[in-house]
Amino acid sequence: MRSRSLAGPLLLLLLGALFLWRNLHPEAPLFDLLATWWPFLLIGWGVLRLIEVLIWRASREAGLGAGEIVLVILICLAGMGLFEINRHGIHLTPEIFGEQFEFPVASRASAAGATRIVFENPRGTIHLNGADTQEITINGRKFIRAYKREDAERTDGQTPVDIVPQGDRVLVTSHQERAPADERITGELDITVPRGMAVEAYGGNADYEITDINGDVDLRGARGDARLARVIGNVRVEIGRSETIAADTIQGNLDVEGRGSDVDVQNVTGQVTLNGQYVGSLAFKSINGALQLAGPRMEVRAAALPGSISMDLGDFSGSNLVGPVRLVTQSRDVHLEGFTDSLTLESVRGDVDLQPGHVPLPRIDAHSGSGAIELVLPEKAAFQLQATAYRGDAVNDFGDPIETQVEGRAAVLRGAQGDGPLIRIVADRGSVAVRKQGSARNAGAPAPPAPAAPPAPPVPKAPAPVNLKSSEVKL
Amino acid sequence: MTDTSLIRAIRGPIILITVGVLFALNNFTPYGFGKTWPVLLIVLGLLSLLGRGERPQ
Repeated sequence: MRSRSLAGPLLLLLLGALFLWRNLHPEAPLFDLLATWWPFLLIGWGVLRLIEVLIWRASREAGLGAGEIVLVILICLAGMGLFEINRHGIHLTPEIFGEQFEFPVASRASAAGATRIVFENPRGTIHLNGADTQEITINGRKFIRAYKREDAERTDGQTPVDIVPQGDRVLVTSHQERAPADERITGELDITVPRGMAVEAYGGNADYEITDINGDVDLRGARGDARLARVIGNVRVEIGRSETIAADTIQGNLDVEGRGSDVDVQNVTGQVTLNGQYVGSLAFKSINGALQLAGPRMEVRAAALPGSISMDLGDFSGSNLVGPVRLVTQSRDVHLEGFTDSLTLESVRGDVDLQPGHVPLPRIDAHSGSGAIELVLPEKAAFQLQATAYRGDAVNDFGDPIETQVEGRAAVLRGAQGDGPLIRIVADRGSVAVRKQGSARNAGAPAPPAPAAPPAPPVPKAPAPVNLKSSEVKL
Repeated sequence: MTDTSLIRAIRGPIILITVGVLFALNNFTPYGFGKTWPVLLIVLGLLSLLGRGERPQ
């Protein structure tokens, strides 16, 4: 009865009881319970030891034994793991041990007097189409993950997809909150609504596909994708985490906020704003209103985009932008072709290639931290130039009107051709080059084939690895 | 003397309880372990302070 703690035997008892319970009632949400309540195991253990120490004052050793400490750390790690898994919506028990059952869904109701259709906590996929009808029709399937068919059937009965008229709005709810905690319901719904209805969705994890709607669309959710086409109205998409956000042919404004991967927007008559972190490929095309993209260390603004912009984490390329254009990027190679009014560019890392294209030229103010800046101008264009490479070469194709000065490692091009806008270029580390349109390609690379644009970037890059290798050899 | 060894003896259980409480807060309240961990340092500091205070006497 000396010095041996009660904690060991009690822990064994508890473990045994838990496993017995799990075996007898496989449907009990044991993992979920364990994931949230495990810290009380530590508290109980601590209290037990404290009581032992205080009651049998003689029987103590100093502190916990090494084995106990290892066990405590293991419990902490396992508990934290379980908690995180559980918090991210993966319920171990039904996901792994359960089975999926499928049920049909069919529901219809009159939409008379309603102007909005509202989804609450949808889960699954929603295909919503506007049509020339006065009814709301829902067809589709419902998937329930459960242990037994009877359980799934009971849950199916408790969670009908209801269409509830509420004043000027119609609420579509699938009552998923009624489902037991260890069962999971997702739906795959095809919904037809009268074309003129506005669409709203709140909460939930759902993928939306919305087409042919003459009304505003407002989607807010934790997770999911959104694909919209042919919407006449303002669109707002606020999804915490998405894989794809796509919008095609929107007559109105488009507002996107959240985090995600790919974004594909085209043919928007209003303005487009995108806020958040999107790490996949982003594409924008034919936007009549102002374009505003903002993310961590990234900003793009243009007054309109008759052309296109595509970007990912390593590249930005844009063509045919209406200025004033503003571009801030962290580490992308920038290729900008055809822009008007003015350009402000701030690039931390990456090569910059600017071809304003049109005459009269826009004002340009470009700064690159590390990377070359190449400017291609029409031969007859009027401009004033101030180009500085603090550590790099300066290349001038325009000859006499522009003067080259070299001071130590810095090179400066200064001068004017005719009376035109000011073009200021600064490269902290990297070269600056001013080239003539057309001849630029030939001057830049000795004998590239006709489609010179894509092969051109590798040419300056090619020497870099060689240098690296030779320096490695030296090292 | 008894006090010092008492503090040394209850050190383990006290830390255990603190860790348990912090994880419980992490699971049931918005105060995550990422925010509350300095409490552990405070408790450790207090315990060693108490133990040291008793020793010279």
